[in-house]
Amino acid sequence: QTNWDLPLAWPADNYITKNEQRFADEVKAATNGEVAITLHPGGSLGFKGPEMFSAVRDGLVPIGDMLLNQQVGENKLMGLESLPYLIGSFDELRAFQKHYRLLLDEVFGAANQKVLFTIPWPQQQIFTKTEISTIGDMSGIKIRSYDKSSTEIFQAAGMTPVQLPWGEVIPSLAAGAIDAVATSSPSAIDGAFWEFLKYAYPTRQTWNTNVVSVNLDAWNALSEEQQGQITAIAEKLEPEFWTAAQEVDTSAMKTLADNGMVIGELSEETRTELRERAAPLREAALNEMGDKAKAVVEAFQKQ
Amino acid sequence: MPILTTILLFLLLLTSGAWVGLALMGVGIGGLSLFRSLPVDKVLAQTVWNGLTSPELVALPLFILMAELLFRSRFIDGLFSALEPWVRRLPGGLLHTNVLGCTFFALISGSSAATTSAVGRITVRELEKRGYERSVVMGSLAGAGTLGFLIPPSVILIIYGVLAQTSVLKLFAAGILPGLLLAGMFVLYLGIRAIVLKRQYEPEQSSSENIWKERLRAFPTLLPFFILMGVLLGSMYGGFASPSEAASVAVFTTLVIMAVEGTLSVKAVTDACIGTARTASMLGLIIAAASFLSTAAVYLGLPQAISAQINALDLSPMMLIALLVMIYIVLGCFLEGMSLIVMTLPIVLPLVTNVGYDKIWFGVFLVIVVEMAQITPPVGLNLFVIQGLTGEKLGQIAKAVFPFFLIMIAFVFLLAAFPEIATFLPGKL
Amino acid sequence: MWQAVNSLVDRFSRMLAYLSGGAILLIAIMQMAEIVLRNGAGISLPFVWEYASYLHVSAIFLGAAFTLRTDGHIRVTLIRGLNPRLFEILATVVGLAISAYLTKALFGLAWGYGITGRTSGTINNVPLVIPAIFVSAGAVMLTLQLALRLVQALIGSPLVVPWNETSRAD
Ligand code: NA
Ligand code: NA
Repeated sequence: QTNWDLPLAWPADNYITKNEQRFADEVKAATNGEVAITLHPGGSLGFKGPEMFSAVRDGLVPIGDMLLNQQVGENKLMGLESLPYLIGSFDELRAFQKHYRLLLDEVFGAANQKVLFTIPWPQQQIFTKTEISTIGDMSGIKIRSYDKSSTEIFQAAGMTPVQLPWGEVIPSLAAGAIDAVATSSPSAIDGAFWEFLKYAYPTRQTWNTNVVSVNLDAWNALSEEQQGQITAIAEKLEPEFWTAAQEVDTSAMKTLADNGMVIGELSEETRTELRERAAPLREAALNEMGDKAKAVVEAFQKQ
Repeated sequence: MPILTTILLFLLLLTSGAWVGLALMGVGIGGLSLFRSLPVDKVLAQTVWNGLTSPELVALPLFILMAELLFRSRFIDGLFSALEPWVRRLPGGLLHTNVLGCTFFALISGSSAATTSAVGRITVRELEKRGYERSVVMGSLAGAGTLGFLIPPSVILIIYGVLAQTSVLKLFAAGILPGLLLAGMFVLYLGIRAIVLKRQYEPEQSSSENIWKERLRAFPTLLPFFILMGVLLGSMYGGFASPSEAASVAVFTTLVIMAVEGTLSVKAVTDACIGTARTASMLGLIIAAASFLSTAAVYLGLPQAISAQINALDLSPMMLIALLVMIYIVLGCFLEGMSLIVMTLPIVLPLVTNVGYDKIWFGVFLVIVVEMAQITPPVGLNLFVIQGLTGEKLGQIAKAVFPFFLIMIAFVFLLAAFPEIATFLPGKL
Repeated sequence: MWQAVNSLVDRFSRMLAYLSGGAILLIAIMQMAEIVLRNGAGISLPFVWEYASYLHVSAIFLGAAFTLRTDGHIRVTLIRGLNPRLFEILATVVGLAISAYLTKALFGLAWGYGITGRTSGTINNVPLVIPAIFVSAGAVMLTLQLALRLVQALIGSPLVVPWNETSRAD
């Protein structure tokens, strides 16, 4: 009998938690209860952020769920999908994963863990109080930003990116200390953004993916049969999780619209301008990441 | 077996006299080493680190710093002399300065020990000089001092918000009505008590014009208070600062007020800083330990087991609250408020939300039981503060505060019967 | 000799406590600068929140030893009356053991951050070893102060010192 504690940062009703619960249920059924995975959502086990990668590596937990681009302090290569305007759409993200996964396996393998599966987050958007028709409209907007890439892009677009903990976002919006937030649609619903903001613009400046990985010592303690069963379930479910992420976005966007938010689309001109301003930032960041990163990007772009 | 051992270890280490933060860490270290094969030192270091680098906690030392600075200004003296002519003629007389002084001070201070000690420094001396019985002076001060946590800003509500992952601003809004209501109940009790016991504390004044002149004259001394509160609220609701940043604005405003009234000096600031370091360090070590212990408890399956036990009792919501009040009163005798919350929250929060209570409401409930823990012996922070002020025996102080303790119990059930008292205002946000 | 050690450690604890208080004041100054710049000039300082949380965790540990020495940490003294001297010795031994373990753990964290070159991964990309060093230093000092307290309890010299809080206006 093997008991694995799986910590997650996301609340119990988040689609990531739900999907991983499904994985745990199927593993339990397939192994006749021999491998039981207990989810601890909402950070209730005490691990939830940039320490997840090392927590799995050092055996603090046998299995963990982590947001890849939060782990870049451990290894820059985990920030590849978050390079500004590298990936343009969900389909491109799917194509990118084919090349990226091998590198991820290598990064995780070198840190005593094995990638079981990935779940992406929906496209990134900016939620604003005012309408954005030209890039000039972005100028001076105080926007809550979440990572290095986004911060740099918003800065390049003339906005004022503000770093705030997530817990301060809603009060700051209510007070008017910020006028915009960059995030994906499920989080916009968590925060009932329509109470404070009017417009949603899919910007897709960066992408985020969650990885569920298992500590190799814990993995090797399983029988070969169990390992096979778990790998098979992960492989079977992963495409379904990806579809789920897209469906979540569609239904979340509908909820936002139902609550009166205007779902906008940046003009092609604005988008091109943003992409052009992001290009040098992307090159610089890619150079810092080194040859392995460049190889993945080249393979993806050639395709 | 792990559960029983852990509880025994808990009792043993805590009564050993080891400092609460360290003792709690010891419980987790022992429990995990005995029953789980984990790198316990790494778990300890990581959870301590995670707990204390949580950005929402940053407001905590800032509110402490503000209180330490105010302590070294003429702020409280002004508050007392402004309140005095307003309450002098009420039954109960100047005893109300304890309750009202604490209520006002609570509006700008985040902690109940700071509130008790700041207000008590002036009122205890003044009231004894004027012949009020020491017991009711101590009792009303200890009782009202606890309002520091319930009336926003509140350090306890910030910590609860962080741990329960719920909006601190909503929690602040939720504390306002219950805080004022509880203050009102204290005022009512002091008045009724004076009438029943036929206590006439202050001599009758002849002319009523006189007192109104006095009352109005008192307003300018309240100016620093209104400025501080205005800046605190204005910076938040005016969109200049986030709630945590507002604490920094308050620190600066306090410095400006001190400069104007001439109490600002290098010594005042360095003393305030070192006082802040002491309080923040004491609280921080306990918070760190509690973060680790709650992780350890989950590893050991404690929350799951205890909630299964309580779930099996199949209690009605009201019965569950009654049971919790009882448990918290017992635990509260021995534990300091902060540790009480962080240790029980992972177990209790799922239980109460399961039977339909709201997270915001439960935050207010917890604050009140923590306030009760502040005034029950043998471990009660407010009792210690008053002991420091008066040199009275702990038992005497505890006896004096008992009526206020009963009022708080009654208030908890009132809150359970009418949850809207807490949930009405945050619902409007 | 013993007196010299005692007063040296006390003075060092006090120094770290000033550092701790200064760190908290620094948080207020940084946040104030952010508020003024953001509202006045449309500039946001991206490091304020992150540095503030490191200053906070460092402040807590840097102040820990002094707080112990000046009787600022809370504890349960329920059974102190039975035998005060034995109680103090026992409490200090238990505290010392746990503090030593904590120090070792935090030192291990700092060490790990140091050798892996782990950074925060945010826009500021702070090497985490820097705040971790302050945290471990504070923990070392707490353990040292506890060790000293054990000797004091054994030889019966005073366990706590006052911390001077007489700068009030009146
Ligand atoms: Na308060
Ligand atoms: Na108590």
